[in-house]
Order: sequence, then structure tokens, then C-alpha cells
Amino acid sequence: MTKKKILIVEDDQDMRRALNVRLRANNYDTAFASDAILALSIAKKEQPDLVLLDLGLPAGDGFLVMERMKNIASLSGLPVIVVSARDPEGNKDRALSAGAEAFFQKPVDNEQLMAAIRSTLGDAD
Amino acid sequence: MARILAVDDRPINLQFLVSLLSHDGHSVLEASNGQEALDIARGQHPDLVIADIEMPVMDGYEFVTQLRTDPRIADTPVIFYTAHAGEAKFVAQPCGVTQVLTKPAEPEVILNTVSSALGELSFTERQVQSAGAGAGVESPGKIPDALITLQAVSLRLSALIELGLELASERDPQRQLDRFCSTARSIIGSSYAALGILDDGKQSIRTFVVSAGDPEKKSNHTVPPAYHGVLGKVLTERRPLRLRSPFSDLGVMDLSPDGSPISSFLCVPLLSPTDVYGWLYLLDKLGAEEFSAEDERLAMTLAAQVAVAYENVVLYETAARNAEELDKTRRQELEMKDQFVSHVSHELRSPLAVIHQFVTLMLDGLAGEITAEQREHLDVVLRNTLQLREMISDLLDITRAEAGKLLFEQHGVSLLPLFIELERNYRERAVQKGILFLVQEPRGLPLVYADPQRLRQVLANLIDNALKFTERGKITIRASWDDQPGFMRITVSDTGCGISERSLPLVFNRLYQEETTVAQSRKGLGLGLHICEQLVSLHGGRIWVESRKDHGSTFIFTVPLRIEEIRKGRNT
Repeated sequence: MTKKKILIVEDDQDMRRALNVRLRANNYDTAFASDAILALSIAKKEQPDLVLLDLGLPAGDGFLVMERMKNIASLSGLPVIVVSARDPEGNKDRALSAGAEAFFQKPVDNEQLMAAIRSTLGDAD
Repeated sequence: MARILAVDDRPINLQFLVSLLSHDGHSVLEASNGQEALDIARGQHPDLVIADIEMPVMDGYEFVTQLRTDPRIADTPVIFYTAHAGEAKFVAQPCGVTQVLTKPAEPEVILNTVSSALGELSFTERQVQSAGAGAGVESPGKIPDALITLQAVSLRLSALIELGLELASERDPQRQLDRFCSTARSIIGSSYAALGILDDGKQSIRTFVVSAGDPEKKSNHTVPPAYHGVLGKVLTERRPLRLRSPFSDLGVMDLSPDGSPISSFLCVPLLSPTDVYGWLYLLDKLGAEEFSAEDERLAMTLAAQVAVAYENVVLYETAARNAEELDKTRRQELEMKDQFVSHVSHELRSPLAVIHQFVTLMLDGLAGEITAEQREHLDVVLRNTLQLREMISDLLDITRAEAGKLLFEQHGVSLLPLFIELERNYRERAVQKGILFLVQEPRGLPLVYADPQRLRQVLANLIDNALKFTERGKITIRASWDDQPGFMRITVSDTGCGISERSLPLVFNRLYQEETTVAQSRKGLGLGLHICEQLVSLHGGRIWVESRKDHGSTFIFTVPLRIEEIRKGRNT
């Protein structure tokens, strides 16, 4: 069975690295993007199964990424989980209504995050 | 004659009515408010009631309303005698009030109104009749001249006192000046009074008010120039001026509001302790050829009163404006602080998230095997990381609460699942410390009206504190009814180190931290209880603590019940 691929959209290099280790340890493939524009082009190229999306990004923000994804046929059904340092107040509702599956505020509880990823991808616990 | 009930809360007004009415041959009953009046009316069945409107315990309107519902006294005619006749007229008539008299009124006017309400000949008619019946014969209804003079003095005095009280409480400058002007005219006795306040440059009139017996004159007036003839003379000399017709050429005739001739004139400057800022003039003394020296003194007294009162109002207005601006500035500052803290907490969370990720990676063995000692050290890092995360949340919460921007949504919340969740989350920590963690399940209790997140936050804060300060014994959480109807009480008690008497009043203060004797690390910003207090009061509840040093602490807070539950409780 091929591994499922998760695109990590995160401008903080250290955070990218940590998430990469954790996701690979959980048997996922990973791809990375460090800003809003790259997120779209890399997503088109890599065709991931899920996007972990930061909100504060260079060249736009997470909301812009979600907005654009809707208008790109190959990305329109791609599930997104938001992982951001931003205040859930205001941002959480906005992210969910923009189509995100879940919102996590950094620092994030890893167990909860992994559970959300598994359930979004339809993987058995 | 008749039995009349006089009702007024000011003794001086009551006395005046009693002496006036009894001299006209009536027997007079007295009451100082509506309730007293109602009791007397029920017992003594007066032929007429003359009552003030604004009174303590029961006001005039309520009195008449109640009077009209009691069949034994429902037909008693009522006269309102009030300083606010203008407003009263619209309300009084539907209540069943026969007549509304403006206070202060001339004695003769009062007596005539009373007579007509009783269906008798008016006081004036009786005087005319008795004069016709035989000159020199003293009729029993005629008031001796000396008494009339006395009554007039008393009337003026009471009007002055009343005016003083009103000016002191009136906050609207325009109404204050209107009131002053009409009082001045009626107690000095003239057909027309006008009052002008200078603007800041002292060159022209900023505010002009008029009182006239004849409404035509009032509507026809034009504002004279500040320094017009006689008026200019009063302003520059700062002394009163009293004149009678014919006038030498000082422009007095120009002041006639409708061009009709003026018989007498009195003008006084409005003086504050330091300055002159306007004038008051009266035209046509009633019942005499000219204004008297006493009128002049009275006008000066009134003018001094209004000057001080008016200055106060202007000061008050300025102060209110300043307070408003200050308030605006403060709101802006809070808004800026909120934005700043929001930004900072975001910036702090990002690196904290990285630390957290790598610590958990290592703890989870994703970076290779770790020794027991390394695990122990990493646990310390993790615990402090999570503590930092809580501190950042607290900081944002408190800033939001102070800026009034804390999002907050109350609905019906069941305490049972919340308590079960808390037990699950905290039991292990308590057991590790060797203390009992008792949660009394709130069965059979109604829903509370709360924001579930915030309610959990308050309880979590209190339990965290209890765990922090308790080394042995137990922590108990329970819910019960509060003494105040419509409220539930939630209690978190521990057997920990307690709070000293000195610190007890301070624990809910912002940034308060209990000094610990044990070598404990600093734990938190000291915002926890302050946030609890803010959150509880947002719910409409109260929070307090009962504690003694070394004898544990009990934190108690109240939460309102869901409205439906309160209603249900009231109905049963």
C-alpha cells in the first residue's frame, strides 16, 4: 500500500522539520511549501492527500491558499487542517467556514493532531 | 366653609397653604405625601384636595389614581399646585385632576381656584360683593392687608428656597435659565422678564430667555444688543438700575416686546464672584407704578443665585465633556493594548510551538532511544512549555476582558459532564501528589446559564491552584444551591496551605501571587484568579474565598440558572 502524502505549508523551517519527523514516523509521506504561492504550485505538482496549513505566510496567507485551491480543479477537494499560532477567536470559525477540516492552535497537542489527520484521511486508528 | 386637605412635602409650602386657606374660613387637613393624604382622605372625606406632585413615598399622580379607585372618595375634586405645571397639565387631566396651578401663585389666585373647584363664589367676587354691601364693614372673607403682605413675603421666601433647590439640581442650562426667569418675574411681580447671558468675548448675547404673562409678548420678543442703552449701563457699571415712565433717552422703550408702552423698568447685572456675564430685566411692575427697592434687592439676590448655579452647570458640562474624551482615549488605549498583546502572543506562540514539537519528538522516541534521566529532564522542559502556553492565553484573556472584547456566549449547560471531565483530567495529577480528588456529582441539579468554555476555564484555574498549594489531604469539588434565588454555587475546597488573613482581600487582584514558604518555582503570572473573577462577573455571578493560614482554602463562585429554570422556580 502506498503511503499517503501530506503537504506541510509552513514558513518556519524548524516547525517544518519537526512536523516532518513526526509525520514520517507515523508512516506518511511529506512535501513542503514555505509560502502561499508555492503552496499552490507544489500542491498541483505533488497531489497530496492532505494539507497542513499555517495561516501566517509570506506572499499571502492561509485563507488565500484555501480560496485559490477551491478554484483549481485538481485541488478543490483536497482536505486542509489549519495549524496556526493565531488566536482561535475569529480565525477558527473563518477557517472552518472556508472549508478547513479542523483548526489547531500552536503549540498543538500531537495526539489530537494525529487523530484529526487519521480521521480526515479515513485511516483506521 | 369647606374641609380642605393640603398635601406638600415641604413644610414651608404646607404652612403657607394652611394659613392662607384657614384665613379664608376653611378647615384644613395636612399631609406630607400621597400615602398620608390617601389615609386622611379615606378617614375624613375632605371636600377638596390641593396637592403637590413631586413627593416622597407616593407622588401626586399615584395619589389621584388611587383616590379615584376608592368609591367613597372617588369624587373629591383635586387641585395640583406644582412648580412644573407645564408638564403636569398633560398628565394631570386624564388622571382626574380638576385644575393645575403653577407654583408659586398669588394668594388670590389660589383662593379663587379653590372656590371655583368647590362651586362657590370666587374670593374676588366675594370681595366685590362685600365692598358693595357696605363700605367700612369688614367681611369675614376679606383678608386683612397686613396678612396679605405677610403671605406675599412668605410666598417669595418659599419661591426663593424652591428656586435655590431646583437650580442646584438642574443640569440643563437652558431649562435652568427658563425656570429662573419665570420665577423672577412671578415673585417680583412684573408682566415681562428677560435674561441674557454674554458669550465668551463679552460682546454679544449668547443665550436669551424670556418669561411673559401674555404669551403674545413672549413670542414677539427680539434679542436686544448686549450693550443696548440701559442694559449697557448696567453691564459696565455692574449696578442695578430702576426706572419709571417717562424715561430719559436710554432706549428703554426699544425693549418693549410688542411696541406697547412700558411703565416701569428694573435691570440687574448677573455677577459671578469675579465677573459680569449678563443681565436680567423686568418690565411693568404689577399693581404698582414702579419697582420697589425691595424688588431690586430680591432681583439682586436671585441674580447672585443664578450666577453661581449657572457657572456650576457650565463647569459640570465642561467636566462631563472632558470625562467623555478621557473615556474615549482610554478605550483607544485598551484597543491598542489588545492589538499589541494579540500580536505578541502570536509571536510568542510560534517559537514555543517549535520547542514543544522537538521536546515531544524526543519524548516520543522519534529521535532515538532516550535514557530515564533524559526523559525526566525533557518532562521538565515540556511542563514549563505548557505553562508558558497557559500564561500566554491568560495574558490575552485578561486584555480582552479589560477591553470588553472577550467573546462570550451563555446557554444552558449541564454541570454533570463538565465535572466528570474535570475528574478525568485532574485525578491522575492529584493521585501522583498523594492527595484525594473528590468530585461530588451534581445529580438532580438544573442547567446553569453559562459559556461552557469559560466555566471550564474558571474551574480549571481553581483546581490548578488547589493542586499547586495542597501537599496532603484532599481537594473537593461540588455544586449546590446558592442563597440567592436563581443561582447555583460551585465550590472548590482544599486542605492546602491556606491564605493568610493579610493576603485574603488581595487574592483576586491582578498580578497577585501568594508568597510561598516552600521553595516553589514561580508558577504563572498571577493572573489566574483575576481572570476567574472577571469571567464569573461576566456570567453575572460572584466569587469569593474562605480560608485560614494552614487550614486550607475554599473558593466559591455562583452561576445563574438558565432563565427558564428561574421562571419555573418562581411559579412553583
